[in-house]
Amino acid sequence: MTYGFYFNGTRCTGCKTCVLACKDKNDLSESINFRNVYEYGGGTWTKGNDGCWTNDTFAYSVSVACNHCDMPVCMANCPQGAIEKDADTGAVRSDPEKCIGCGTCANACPYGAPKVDTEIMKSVKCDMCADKVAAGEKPVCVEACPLRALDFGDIDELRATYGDVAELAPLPAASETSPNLVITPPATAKPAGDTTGAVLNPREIS
Amino acid sequence: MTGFSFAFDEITLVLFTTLAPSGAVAYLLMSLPVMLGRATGDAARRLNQLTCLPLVIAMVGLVASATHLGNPSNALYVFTGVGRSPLSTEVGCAVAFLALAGIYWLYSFAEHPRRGLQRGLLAAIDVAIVAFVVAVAFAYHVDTIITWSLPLVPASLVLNSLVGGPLIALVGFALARWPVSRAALCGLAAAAFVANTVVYVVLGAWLHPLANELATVGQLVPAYPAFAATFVLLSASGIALSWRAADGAQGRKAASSGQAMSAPAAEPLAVADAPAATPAEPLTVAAAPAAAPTEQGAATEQGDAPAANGLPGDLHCVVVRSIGALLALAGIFVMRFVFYMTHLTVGLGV
Repeated sequence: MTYGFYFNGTRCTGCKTCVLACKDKNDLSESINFRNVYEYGGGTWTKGNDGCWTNDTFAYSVSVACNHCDMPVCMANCPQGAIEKDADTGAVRSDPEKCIGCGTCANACPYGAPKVDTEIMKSVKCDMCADKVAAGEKPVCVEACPLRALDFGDIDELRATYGDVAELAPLPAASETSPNLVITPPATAKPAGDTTGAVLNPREIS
Repeated sequence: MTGFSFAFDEITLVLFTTLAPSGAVAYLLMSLPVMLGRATGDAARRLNQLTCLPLVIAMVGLVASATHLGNPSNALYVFTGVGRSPLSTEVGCAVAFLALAGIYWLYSFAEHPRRGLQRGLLAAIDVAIVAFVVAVAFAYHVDTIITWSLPLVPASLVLNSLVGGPLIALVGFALARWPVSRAALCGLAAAAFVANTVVYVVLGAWLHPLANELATVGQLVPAYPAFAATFVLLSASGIALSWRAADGAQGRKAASSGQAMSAPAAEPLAVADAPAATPAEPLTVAAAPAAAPTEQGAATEQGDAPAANGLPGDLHCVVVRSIGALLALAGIFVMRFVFYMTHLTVGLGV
């Protein structure tokens, strides 16, 4: 079985409870998030000839962590072979015994998922809460979401239930790494590669 | 947001990619006279022993890169990824080059080294060097990193090594008192410099419009033209200085022997000409500078002949060429720094 995450963009309010729950469980430092919520927005206001203002503005939030990709670019480029994809769960995991902290995984990932922890000088990343999943529970980010905007499970079941959309701005095209991610896009979603908007909260991302 | 902090975090890799490829190319150039059988005897011994110069430069780069690692004690796993991970392949090639070169250097102290073995080893080292430089050039070629996977990026690194390598080799040849053609080596460096400059101009145009959801290249490298101009200034100065070093030494030598600087005979010889220039001992080029200058005529107009004070080679020439090489390496360092500043993936990686 290959596990994956589901993100419902029509429910997410950008509260970042998922981010904090993850930081709390994994005891992450201030500078490291395994999950980030990107606020993506753009558009303009235009004053018409009749003096009325119209707008095409948009804004929505996207919660994203490691997507435990089928073609993990972090794993492909790791010089140590320290990143492996679990055959039973599909989890992409970093082996601290092999990792040398070179940062190649962090440099290559288009989701910014792996980080180099400067205290232990090793790569660290979301492991989809392997301990909880082994105990039959769901990852802590999913359990913590107050809007139930996140779900987790067999990726085939998630796709059967929610569809197979796996990309929207500001995420990269799914063809880059084949993420195990399913998205219900928000109403104002822009396609991957969109240039009309921007990440509005870059200082919150780490 | 600029790429300065990212590049500064990777400063040891900037140093590595500046020094190691140029050192490797310098080694290759310095190995040619022995490998091709042009240098034998004492000349070959000096050349062999002085290959430690480019070797040390390359090793300083490699050691610098190792300090970038958080846990180098785990680094032996790197060999499991050769052929799969570009970075592993790079390290594998580096180790092959350094191990072979180290063995060769130690063997150069043997009382009666076997020439065939030495030449075979040098051929193997030179193959490893070519593989190493190409591997370094492609080590960062990751498809998701849109700024590093451009086709001219590997070309720029190879050209870097062809700018710095010949200038380092000129220092080594001067120290070894080997009559190398400055025209050939400075010409190679100059040609690579011109090509490298063109590559950087085109690369700058390619990079400028690139962006992901978090940054644009314009934000990451706010003064690309200034960086490129610094490279041009430093590298051109380095090449010119290396060229002038030969001229100056040549001039002093010509003056000391009562010959005009502008005499055609003052033109330095190509490596291939060296044996012919010393017919008494066709393959012992080291004998040439040791012989009386007035008897050697054109053959000794190298500017690399031992100075009257007995210093190894022409010390002035060595110093000036060293400064020239350092200037060129400084120029390369600037653009390697810029390379790391441009790190940008598709999507969300900066």
